[in-house]
Amino acid sequence: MDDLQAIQRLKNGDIGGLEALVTRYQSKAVRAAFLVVHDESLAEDVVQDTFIRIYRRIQHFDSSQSFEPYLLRSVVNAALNVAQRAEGRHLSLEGDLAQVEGWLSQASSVGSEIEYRELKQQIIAALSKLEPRQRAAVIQRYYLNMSEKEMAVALEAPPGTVKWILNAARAKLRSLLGSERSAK
Amino acid sequence: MNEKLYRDILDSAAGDSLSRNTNLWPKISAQVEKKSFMLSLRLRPMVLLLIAVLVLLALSGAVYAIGQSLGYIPGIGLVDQNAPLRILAEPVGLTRDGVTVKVEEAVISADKTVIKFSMEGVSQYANPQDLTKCDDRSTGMSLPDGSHLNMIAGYGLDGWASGYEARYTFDPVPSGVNDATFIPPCLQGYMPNANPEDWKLALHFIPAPSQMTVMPVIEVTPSLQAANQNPLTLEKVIETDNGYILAGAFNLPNLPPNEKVLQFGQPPSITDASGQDVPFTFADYKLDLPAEKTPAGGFLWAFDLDGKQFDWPLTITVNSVAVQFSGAQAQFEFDAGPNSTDGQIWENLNIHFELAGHPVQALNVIRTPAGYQFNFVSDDSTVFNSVDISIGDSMQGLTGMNGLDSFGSEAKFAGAVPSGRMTVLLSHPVILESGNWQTQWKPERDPTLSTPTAASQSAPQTCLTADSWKAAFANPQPIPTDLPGRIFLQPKLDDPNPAIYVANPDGSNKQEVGRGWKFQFVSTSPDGAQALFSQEDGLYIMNLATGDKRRIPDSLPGDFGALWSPGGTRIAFLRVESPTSYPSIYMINADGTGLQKATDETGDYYLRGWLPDDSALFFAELTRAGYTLKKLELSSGTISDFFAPKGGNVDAITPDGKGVVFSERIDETNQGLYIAHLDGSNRRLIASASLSSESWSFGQTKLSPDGKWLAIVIYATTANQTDESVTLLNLATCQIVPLSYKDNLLAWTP
Repeated sequence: MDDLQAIQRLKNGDIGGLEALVTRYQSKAVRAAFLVVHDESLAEDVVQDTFIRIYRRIQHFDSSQSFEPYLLRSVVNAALNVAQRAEGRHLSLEGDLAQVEGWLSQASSVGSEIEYRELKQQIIAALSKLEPRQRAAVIQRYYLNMSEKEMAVALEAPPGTVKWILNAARAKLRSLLGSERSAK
Repeated sequence: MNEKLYRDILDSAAGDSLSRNTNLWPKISAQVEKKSFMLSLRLRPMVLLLIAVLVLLALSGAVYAIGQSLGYIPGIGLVDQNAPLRILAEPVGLTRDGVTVKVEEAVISADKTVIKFSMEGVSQYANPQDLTKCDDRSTGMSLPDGSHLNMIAGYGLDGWASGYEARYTFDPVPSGVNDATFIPPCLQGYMPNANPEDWKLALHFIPAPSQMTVMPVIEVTPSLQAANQNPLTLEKVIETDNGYILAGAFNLPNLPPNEKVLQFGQPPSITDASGQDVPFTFADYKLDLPAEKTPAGGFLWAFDLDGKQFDWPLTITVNSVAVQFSGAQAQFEFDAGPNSTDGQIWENLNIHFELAGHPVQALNVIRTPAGYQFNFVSDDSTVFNSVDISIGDSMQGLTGMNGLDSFGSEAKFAGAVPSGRMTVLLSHPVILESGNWQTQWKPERDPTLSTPTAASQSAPQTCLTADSWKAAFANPQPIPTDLPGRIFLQPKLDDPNPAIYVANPDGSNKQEVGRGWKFQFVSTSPDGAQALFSQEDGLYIMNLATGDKRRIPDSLPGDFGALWSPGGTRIAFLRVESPTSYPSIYMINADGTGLQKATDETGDYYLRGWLPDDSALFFAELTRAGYTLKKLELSSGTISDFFAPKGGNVDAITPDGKGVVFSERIDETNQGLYIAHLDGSNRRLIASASLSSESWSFGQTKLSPDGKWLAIVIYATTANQTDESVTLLNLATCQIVPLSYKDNLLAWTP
């Protein structure tokens, strides 16, 4: 059963379609959520919640678009909501997005498996020190391949957030994107 | 750098950090039929913060009073009830180019107008360059006399891949005015060809029903001495079903007029008397706290505590806040040379200045595509969070911290980026101020002795509620012996090879009739002798007495939703003709002959019932606006609309073809189950459940063949375990009969 068939069955009330989608994407979705919430149980809760939301909103899903990016964007958005509510609005005193990007850059060219494994641990550790929105920015850019403009929208919408608190994320996002341009 | 490689690295790093194989299906399958759910947050324990200064709110000096006028409406926030509450008469929506904007709920109180707005159907950001021009300022409310209401606050409530939900708060619509126009936020970036912006939603308000849930707010008035000494004050307490919402303010005393406390610097902690962390989430959005903070320049806060059983009292601790210095400025000269280029970096600048009384030096300057980003470092370890920057007529770009050591700010230009010597002006720096502030609280009474919540007090009187069900469950009555027909059951779907059983309506005399069927649609012939169902390769009819089954020759793999007509002559079913389309309705004679497509239209259809003479088929169509009950006349192929329940579903058609069973939102927090005429008139509320409660709710229903009983799936949670069971409800007498079997109820047939 491919994604289209599963979604069609789900739209027609057959939760066997949902089972197929859950089986296919749950691991990837939990990994994406974990990168934002940094808690395995919480990541599973987020993905479980997202699949149930999709089940309830499946009539709105446009079958002409791919399911996987839709799911993963929804997961990251939900994970950001949860992380912010869990961790609250506050300022990160430790996080350094440039450091995350540095580890990523090193990991992309490392030859040794042991060194690669260490770098991955450092990436996770560095991510955990960022504020939720900064983490989400990294995941949106490098995991979901969202454009800068899409990221700006995703980080600012829904509307009405306290603008000043986003400044840190924006500045670091700007730094991140600037470095990426330099790398290209 | 190859971005896909970055993605693979992140994916692998996350995978390395996970300790177990992911298997979410059992939990998801157990929840998909529930009407309501709530994500349970598991908070990581917070690090206990060091305490340097202990300023305790003297509990003996606090005055507790239940606010006579202030109430809390879940989903809306705090409301002043000095004037009668008004609500939206009905949800209002508009759809254009596949994007639906909707005002789902609105409340007018004495102090505000609250609008809950959603946007749905965004598959991609169509014109992100337009969206970046949009902001909340386009959002508004206008009155019939042409005047506009001032917007007080805006909160994003939820966001997902194809839309978002937000809540906007305006000044109150004056009493006597019951119509207003809501102008949604800028939508151009979401629309494929949106131009111009002319979205307007006409809202009509009616008096709020008396049973609407408004929870009491306990206002805490600390003694004057405590309030003067302690910047951290608790002001309001709301007891919810699952815990407490604590709300208060933070005001640093004696701040100069040009300094303003904006927000927590680090997350506060809440601990109980034993030093254990108390789980909580930030609840600013729940109370709709205004974006502009307190008049004294501090800020408001709200925490939602998870649970009621703690070692009292609780201690809230804050150890840093962010302070903005609106009067502080600094200025310096920077020479970019004759022809600066994007990506160019200037270092070793030797630029030193004082900002808000602290020595600062410029670390470097980076030429960006639209301007210059300046990075600074404080020479006295002061932690700057941000600073505004301007060069001539430049615009403010991004500003923030680059780790603990430095901070930056970007000046952007609408046109060409200037080069050469320029004067740089810094203003409005935000600095983290350390301190340790505490306050304590405990409830006035033992929460185990608390009175019932407002939600349960205000639940409408109906046949089936959480209370009436629990009473019937605790004192079970004999199951009636004259229940009509048979039921079809299927175990929960975590069984890899699920069986379907036929049984008496009370679950007795259960007999397996097949295995491995993944499609959950079952119907029977009018005499109940033959079952009609789907299998992977088409539609089948089974003789229930012998077990013999035959495939309907003209059926195809994927045909589903079959429904045998009450006269026994016809079978209706759904067929998807292309993988990307919705299904069409097909008809076939009961003997398998005469296949025909009943309508050229396709839709998200659900077959619900027939007229007794087989002349017309009732079905529900699900669109972005929700479910609509429709009737298809077989002789003419005409489709007519009947009724669209708000926020609910069309469950069944009564056997006489004159009535409908459906679910619908009663209000923001309660879901109802109704029986009514086909057009929704003469409705009777037969069951209700609180959407905010996790302890009891109802799910799908099946009407008995004689139309006298309704089988309802009940979800009851005790000790973190949700049990799903079926309860029978007599529609005439309100007799409630909880049953013991746990299987999925597929059909109740003759």
